[in-house]
Amino acid sequence: MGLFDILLWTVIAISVYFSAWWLIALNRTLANSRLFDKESAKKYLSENIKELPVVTVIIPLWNEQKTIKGTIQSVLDIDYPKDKLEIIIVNDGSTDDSEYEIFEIIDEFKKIKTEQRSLKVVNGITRKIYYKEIKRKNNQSIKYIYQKNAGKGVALNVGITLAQGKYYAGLDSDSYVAKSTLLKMLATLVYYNKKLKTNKVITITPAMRISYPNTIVRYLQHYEYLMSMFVARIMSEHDMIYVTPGPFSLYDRKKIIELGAYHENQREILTEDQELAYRIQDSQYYIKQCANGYVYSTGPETLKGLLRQRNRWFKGSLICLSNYRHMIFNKEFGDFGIQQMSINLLRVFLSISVLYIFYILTINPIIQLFQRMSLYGFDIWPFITDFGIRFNLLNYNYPRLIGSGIILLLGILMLVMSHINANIGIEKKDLKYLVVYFLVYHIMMAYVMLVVIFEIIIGKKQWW
Amino acid sequence: MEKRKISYEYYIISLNIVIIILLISALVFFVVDSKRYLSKQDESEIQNTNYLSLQLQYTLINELIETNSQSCSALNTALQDSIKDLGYSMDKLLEYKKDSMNDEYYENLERRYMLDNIKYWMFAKKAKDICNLNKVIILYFYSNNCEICPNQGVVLSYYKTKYDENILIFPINADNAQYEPVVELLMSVYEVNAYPTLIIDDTKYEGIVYNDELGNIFAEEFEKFETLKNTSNQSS
Repeated sequence: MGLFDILLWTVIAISVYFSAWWLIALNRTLANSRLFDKESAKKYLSENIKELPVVTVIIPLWNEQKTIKGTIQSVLDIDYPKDKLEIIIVNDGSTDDSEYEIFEIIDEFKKIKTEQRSLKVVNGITRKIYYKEIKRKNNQSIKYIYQKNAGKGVALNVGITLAQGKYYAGLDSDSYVAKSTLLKMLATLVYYNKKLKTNKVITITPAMRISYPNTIVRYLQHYEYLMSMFVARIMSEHDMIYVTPGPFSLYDRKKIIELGAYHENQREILTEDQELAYRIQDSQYYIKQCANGYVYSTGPETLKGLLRQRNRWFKGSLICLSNYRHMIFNKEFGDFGIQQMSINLLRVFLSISVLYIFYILTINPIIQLFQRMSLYGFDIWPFITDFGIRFNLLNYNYPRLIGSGIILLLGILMLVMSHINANIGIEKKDLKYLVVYFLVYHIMMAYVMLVVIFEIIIGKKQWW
Repeated sequence: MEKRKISYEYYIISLNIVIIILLISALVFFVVDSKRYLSKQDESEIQNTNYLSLQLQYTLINELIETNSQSCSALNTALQDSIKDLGYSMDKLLEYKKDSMNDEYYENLERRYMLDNIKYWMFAKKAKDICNLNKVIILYFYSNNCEICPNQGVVLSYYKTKYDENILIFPINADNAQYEPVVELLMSVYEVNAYPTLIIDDTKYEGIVYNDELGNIFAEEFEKFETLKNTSNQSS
């Protein structure tokens, strides 16, 4: 037993610890969480608030000609009084046909009037915003802004400055929102504020799913999203959510402006949605998840796209972790500080360890086998005929089998429960993808983490 | 400001679960380890008995009965099986030793296995003379500090598997020379100074002998047996 075994068992212990924590926490989550369907949400809202608030949907986009139409259409289809659902489209300097696509939809509504406004904005910056406003017959307002490319953070800030709504939701232009999601989310927000006797629940996150898992890369993301949707439900109950997804998280607009709105330097922060979530937690506000408020994202189609996306996410999360390190193991932030922040921190250690363990247990033996075989000219026939004669139960490494068995079992348990949580079954065709998911996906993500850490180290050296 | 909740009970329960799993694994580890140790001890006992039996057969053939092919072939088979078992058992012993928490536990056993190896080697040499044993006998000296030795081991085990009945290999870990005078003696007889060293039927090969070369050596040896067999057939 050497250093490798100590590392292996540390990883097993940490993984079992986190999984056990979630499974125990599931009990309270299921007992306390309340799910609304469309009708019950309507009913609940009419009973508990005087009138439905104005909600703004902000769609920032950059070169999304393929998907933007579907995104806008899904917003136009939302179940909500149209005069209370404002749409703001911020074209962040697209160079493709996005604008053409957008106007193909909204030109139908006619009545275009151009306005120009100057507004005071967050962080003391005053911005002049030029926009076109289109009023539909049913009094729905659609505003279109074209700005020079300035990043998603700026685009969102322009949107929330112009917005009229008490609440707003951003919607990435590769995502679609289900019709009833907004009502469910609003009901959830009102419900939790009432339950906690506060007005500090200022953000509701949706349940993100992959819209059309048609390639293996998207299938893998599909399982991952289901899993994180399920874990987010537990995290929501314990106020541990550390990322408010870009697509359709619902925010209290005034409170977000008070908190300083979006970070505008994209290069510095990389993931503006994660940064905002950390800031909300840091300011002791609540983030809750609407466990059945579905939002669909297309997700990167190719492996390269996926790796690039995750590279950005991981880097962003490390930056956030470093910027908000005062919360790590800080009792002031409750379970978020003690549990979630340590998970986020240990994830780095786990990724690299898993990669190393994977190398030692699979890659290295294969390399050694090839080296050995090369010594006798790859003539393996004698070994094949000799194989399996001596079987001895004592020859297996039982502790390792127990450890990996428990990890696998917990993984399967989490997967099954995340399917139940999303109300979908596991079909036969899922099995082959699930094998890949269990065997390859996490190794792949760990590899991305390793690359990210490497790039940060190299990058830092370059800056100095 | 109201204080945020810390779910202490979760932390305590999940920590306990982790501790229980670690304890169970440790328990299994120690149970398996001691079982392995006991099984190796048993095997060692069996090998001793086998040796005793072989020795008796040998003495009988040598002193009482006239050597004939029938009595010899029984001895050959028994010798072959015993040495094969010994080799396999020793390989496993070294693997178990690597897995085990304390090497010392296995050190004495390893010594015994090595002595058995030498014993069997001597026996095989004697039996070869008296029974015209058609086997190549190899004494293989290696050291833990020798980086290339594992490669020699791989090539040897390849041929052991390939020519199963015709090759007898006796590995000797030269690191044991410091507390095992027999090993030192053996090394001085063959003037072993470098690792790996192979003694193939009293011919010394210093340094690693690779696949092709070793194959040629075996081919030559087997040819010798053939001619020997032919001449003995002709004479009778």
